[in-house]
Amino acid sequence: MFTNNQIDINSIPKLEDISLNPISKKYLNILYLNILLLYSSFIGIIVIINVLVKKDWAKDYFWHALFFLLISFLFQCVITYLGFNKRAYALRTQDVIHTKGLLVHQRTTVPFIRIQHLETKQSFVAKKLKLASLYVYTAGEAGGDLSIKGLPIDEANRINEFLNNKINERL
Amino acid sequence: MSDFNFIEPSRQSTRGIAVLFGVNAYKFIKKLFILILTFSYAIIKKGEVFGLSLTKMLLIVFTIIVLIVLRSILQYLNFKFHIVGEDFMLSKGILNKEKITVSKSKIQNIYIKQNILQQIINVVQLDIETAGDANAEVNITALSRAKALALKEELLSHINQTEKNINKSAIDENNIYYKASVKKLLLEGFSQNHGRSFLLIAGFFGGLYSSYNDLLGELKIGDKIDDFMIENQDSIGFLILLFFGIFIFTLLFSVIFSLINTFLLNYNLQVIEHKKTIEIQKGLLNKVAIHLSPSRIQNIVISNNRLKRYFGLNTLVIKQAMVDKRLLKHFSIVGLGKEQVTYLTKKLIKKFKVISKKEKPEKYYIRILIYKSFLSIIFFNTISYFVLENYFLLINIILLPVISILIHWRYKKAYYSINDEILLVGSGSVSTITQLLEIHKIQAVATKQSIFQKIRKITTVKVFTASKETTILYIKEDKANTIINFLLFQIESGRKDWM
Repeated sequence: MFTNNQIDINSIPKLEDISLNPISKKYLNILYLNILLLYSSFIGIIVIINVLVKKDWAKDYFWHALFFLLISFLFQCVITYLGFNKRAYALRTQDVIHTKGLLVHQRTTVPFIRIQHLETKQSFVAKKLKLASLYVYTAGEAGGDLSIKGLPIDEANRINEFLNNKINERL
Repeated sequence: MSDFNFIEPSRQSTRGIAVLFGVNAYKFIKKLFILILTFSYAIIKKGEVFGLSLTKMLLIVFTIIVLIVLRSILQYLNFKFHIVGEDFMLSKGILNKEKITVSKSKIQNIYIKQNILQQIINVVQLDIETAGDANAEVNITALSRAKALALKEELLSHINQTEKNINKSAIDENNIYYKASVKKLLLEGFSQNHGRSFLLIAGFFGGLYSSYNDLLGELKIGDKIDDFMIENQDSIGFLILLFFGIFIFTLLFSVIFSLINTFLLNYNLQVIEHKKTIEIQKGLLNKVAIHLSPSRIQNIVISNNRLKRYFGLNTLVIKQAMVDKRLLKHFSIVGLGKEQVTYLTKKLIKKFKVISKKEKPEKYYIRILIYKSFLSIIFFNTISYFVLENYFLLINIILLPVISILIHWRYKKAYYSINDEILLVGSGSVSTITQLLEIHKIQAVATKQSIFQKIRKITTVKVFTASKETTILYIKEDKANTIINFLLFQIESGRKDWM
C-alpha cells in the first residue's frame, strides 16, 4: 500500500550524535615526515640560492627566509599534532563519514548508494608502518570525494570489502 | 534506411583535408605562438634571424606549410570508421595506429557541430560522447551533413522502438519554444556585468604593455606618452581627467567586448522543445546543437541583475553530468523572460516550485565580507597611491560607499530554501543568482567550520552533485545538522538514481 506520512524531523537519524573512530596513531609519523620533507626542500632551495647569488642583499634575505621557514615549520608541526585527533571516520548502515581539520574542520558524508568506486593506496613508508589510505569516489566532478588516510591495513581492507559489498548489493 | 553504407570502412569527406589542415595549422601556431611573435619581431627590427634572410625564412615557412598539408593528407587517409554489428569502429594515426571501438549501447550523446572553417566548406563535425569519460572520445571532423545525420541515426538505433517513436514524434513536433531576437542579444550584451570583462581587458593590456614594452619603445610611442605626462604632471586635475578617460575608454571597450562575445556565442539562439527533452541551437562561428534531458541534469543556475530584470533578460545555465568540457560554456540560454524561465525549469526539473519560505545566513556573514573587503581596500589604495600620490585617500570617497553597498546586496541576496525534493540557494551582489538542484541528485554532503566559527556555533554546508558544488553559507550549527540529516535521509530512503 502506498503511504506518504509526514516525516518527523526529530526522528531522522542524527549525524552529530555518532561516535567517530580514530585513525592509527602511527599515521602522525607520516604526517611529520611529509612536513619535514616539504620544509627541507624549501630550505634546500634557499640554501642553493644563497650559494649561487653572491650579493649582500641575498645574505640578509636568506636569514629572514630561514627564520620564517623554521617558524612556520614549528607552527605546522604543532597544528598537525593538535589536529590529529580531529581525523576520524565512521560507518553507518547507509553512509560513510570522515572528519578532519583543526583550524578548518570539515565533515564529509557519502551515502553508499552514491559511491562510484573505491581505492586503497599505500605509500612506501605506509607499507612499512602497515598503514593504508582508503579513497571513496563519487560521480562528483566538482568534489564530494572522500579519503580516509592512515588506517591500519587490515582495517582498510575490511572497510573496502564492506563498502564493495554495499555497492554490489545495489546492482 | 539510408543511402550511406557504414558496414564498409569509409573515410571522411575529401573536404576534410582542408579542415584537418586548418586544425593542424591552428595547433602549430598556438604551440609556437611566442616563438613566431619573437621571430617576426626580430625580422621587422633587423631583417634577419640567426643570420637567415627573409627569403630563407619564407622558404622555411613554405616547407612547414607543405609538411602540415602532408600530415593532413596522411591523417585523412588513415582515418577510417565503420559499424560492425553493435560496435562503432574507428582507426586512425599515421605512425601510432590507434583503433577505437565504441559499443553503441555505451554512447551517451552525439553532437553535431560546425566551426567557421567547417561552415565555409560546408561540412559538419560529429562528436561521439561515451559514458565514463568527461571528454568526447571520438571526433569526426568533416562529414557532409546528410552523412552525419545518417550516422547519428545508425548509432542511436539501439534505443528501443518506443523511445525512438517518441524521438520521431518529437522531431515531427519541432516546436520552437524560444528564439532570441537580435534586439534581445544586444540588450543582453549591453547589460552584462562589465566588471569581469573590464578586469580582463585591463589585465590583457597590462600584460601586453609589459611584454611588448621593448616593441613600444622601438616605435617611440612610450616616449611620447612619457613626455606628455612630464609636461602635464603638475596638474592633479589633468591626472584625474586622464584616469577618468582611461576608465571610460576601457568601459566602452568592455561593453563592445561583451556584445561581440554574446553575439558569437548566442547568435541565432533557439530553444526547441521535444516531448521529453529540450534542444539548444546557437553560435555564429561555432554552431552547436545540444540536447538536454531531465535525467542527466544536475544543477540549474538562473542569473540576472537589476538592469536585466528591467529588460526581462534572465540567463539559464544548465549543468549536465558528463559533458565534454569544451562544450560546457554552451549550456546556457540567455535573454529569457521570467515566465519562460519558470516554464523551462519546470520542464527540466518537474518538481520545481517556488518556495516562499527563505532562510537567511547568520549576520556573521557580513562580518566576514567586511574582513574580506579590507584586501580590496588596500589594493585600490595602493594603486591610488601610485596614480594620485599624496591625494590617494581621495579614492575612498568612491570606494567605501561602493564596497558597503556591495556587502549590503550580498547579504540581502543570500538565502536558502529547502523542501522534500529541491534545494534552492540564492547569492550574488550586483547580479542575482539562484542555484537549484534536486535532492536525489546529491552525491555527497559536507560541513565546513573554521575555529572562529566553532566558537559562535556557525557552520557552512556544502552539497555536491556530479557537476557542481553548492554552498549554504554561515548558518547555525544545529540548523546545519538538521539540513544534513534531512538531505541524507531523503537520499538514502529515496534510493533514486542520480542519472
